[in-house]
Amino acid sequence: MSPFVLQIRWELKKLFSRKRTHLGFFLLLLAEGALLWVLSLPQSDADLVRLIGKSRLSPESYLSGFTLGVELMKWTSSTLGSLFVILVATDILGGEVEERTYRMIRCRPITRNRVLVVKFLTCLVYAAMLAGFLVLSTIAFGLLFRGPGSLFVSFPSQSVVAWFPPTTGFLRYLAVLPLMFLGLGSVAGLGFGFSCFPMKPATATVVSLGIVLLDSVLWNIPYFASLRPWFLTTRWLAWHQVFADPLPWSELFREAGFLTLLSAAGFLGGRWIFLRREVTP
Amino acid sequence: MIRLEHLTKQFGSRRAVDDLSLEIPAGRIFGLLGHNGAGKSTTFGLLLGQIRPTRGDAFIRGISVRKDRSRALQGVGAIYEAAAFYDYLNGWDNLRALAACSAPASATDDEISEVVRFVGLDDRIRDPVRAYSHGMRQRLALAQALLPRPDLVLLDEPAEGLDPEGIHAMRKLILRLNQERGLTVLLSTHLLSEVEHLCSDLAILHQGRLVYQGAWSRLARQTERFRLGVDNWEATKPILKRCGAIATEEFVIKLSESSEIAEVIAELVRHGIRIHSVEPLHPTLEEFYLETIAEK
Repeated sequence: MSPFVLQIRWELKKLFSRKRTHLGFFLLLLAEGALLWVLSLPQSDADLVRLIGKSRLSPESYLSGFTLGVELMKWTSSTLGSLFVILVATDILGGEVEERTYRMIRCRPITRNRVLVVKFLTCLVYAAMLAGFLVLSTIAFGLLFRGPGSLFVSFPSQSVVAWFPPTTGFLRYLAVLPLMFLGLGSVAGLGFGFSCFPMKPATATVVSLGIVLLDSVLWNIPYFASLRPWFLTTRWLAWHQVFADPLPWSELFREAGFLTLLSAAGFLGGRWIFLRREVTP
Repeated sequence: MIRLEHLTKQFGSRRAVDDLSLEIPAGRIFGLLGHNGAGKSTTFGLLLGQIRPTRGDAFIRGISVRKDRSRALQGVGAIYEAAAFYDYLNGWDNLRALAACSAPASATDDEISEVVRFVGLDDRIRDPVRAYSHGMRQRLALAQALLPRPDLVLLDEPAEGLDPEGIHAMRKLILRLNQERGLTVLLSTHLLSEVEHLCSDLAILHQGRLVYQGAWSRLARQTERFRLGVDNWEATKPILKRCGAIATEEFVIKLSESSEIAEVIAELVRHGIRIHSVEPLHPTLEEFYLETIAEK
């Protein structure tokens, strides 16, 4: 096994040996369960039925597990997904500096750059796993609750209202994964970047979460609707476009490129700081 | 093995290490002695490339730590400041995780087992580190420093916080490292007894500056004193002065570099001084240390 792969393997082992990493996945399931309960309340159900009816579709066919899954994903990905990725990304390096294990690592002939690359790639692996978990768990919950059927999606703020037969719906659902991963990856870049500054990991978490939440709150205020293309939230919600019909390929590639750049900028900015600072706990 | 050239580190207005030049030969146990804040840990940090020097450089086997840290640290094991581990992993996984950072050199399971046996942790190595006592953590710290196959180990206060039994066990391990494995050991400590028991050579740091460097045997000779049992101390003093011996207190003399006790005694006898006894007084390192620091 190459040294690089070996180091990433141990980084993952460290990450997944901590109970709080698993707690994140467990809390996600819990939140999805709770949301599912809220969405099954008569009022929520009626809202969804009304929305489907407005598109002159039959609620019996379109009020399916896939439809419910997308609704779940809409609420959990931008809130809990971002939260858990930020918690990991700000702790993976900052936590080691704070707990002084970073000093143990650096007693060895490993470069700072290698440490950063290994840790950031581990964050990306976590983001990919979380994206996969989000997509699969929402499908599973939706299917368990409503069973298979046609898919109906509605993201009015992005002018996406579409419906698909079950197979196409399922494929579109799975196609969310790459953009969801890139979105969470860019959030990881942000958190990781701040954790490279000379500040405690908790501070880096608060700063990163603050940016994500502030951006999201402003994005939701109608007054700023015309400025939405400039908000990061628009990019993080780029996966909504996977449900547009027909598929806006150029827009999807542009968003994917932007999210990749955002992630790289977070990492490179953090790296620039970290390589220049004196690391003392 | 190690060469420090005008190594200087300034933290704000405080100079933690001040123009430190030092050579540490291979195969020795070298003690770096100084009180808290003397600059020992900063020197270790500079040697390990964890702290950037303001001026000067450190060389390991002739390789500059500043310019080629990764190559310089190949074959170096270290305990730097308080050892910290991943408490949620067991001892074995901690060793493997840390050894993976020494790539391309890597440690095999057999090597890890051998090191674990060497430090005496074989029966607890699969336990989570959070259940380890302080002494066990220090042993684990020593084990990780021995992976994979170093020829130089840097030990920063390895006996810090250990009970007397733990200190004794750690001392034995360090001696074995040098005697059985031929490792060069650089040991930093503020425990004078540690240096006295372990080190063949030592350097003393005070406020970041080197105030003494030399072999422990030379130091012992340099600081040895004799208590003379003589009838007439007042008559003895001028004769001692002529022989190059210095009276440090009543009936106690210190020899100059060139004088020998036999010659001094012969001279006293020749001048009719009656000598009842000559008792060598071996000073402790503590006495020497405090004397040296006071002089500075």
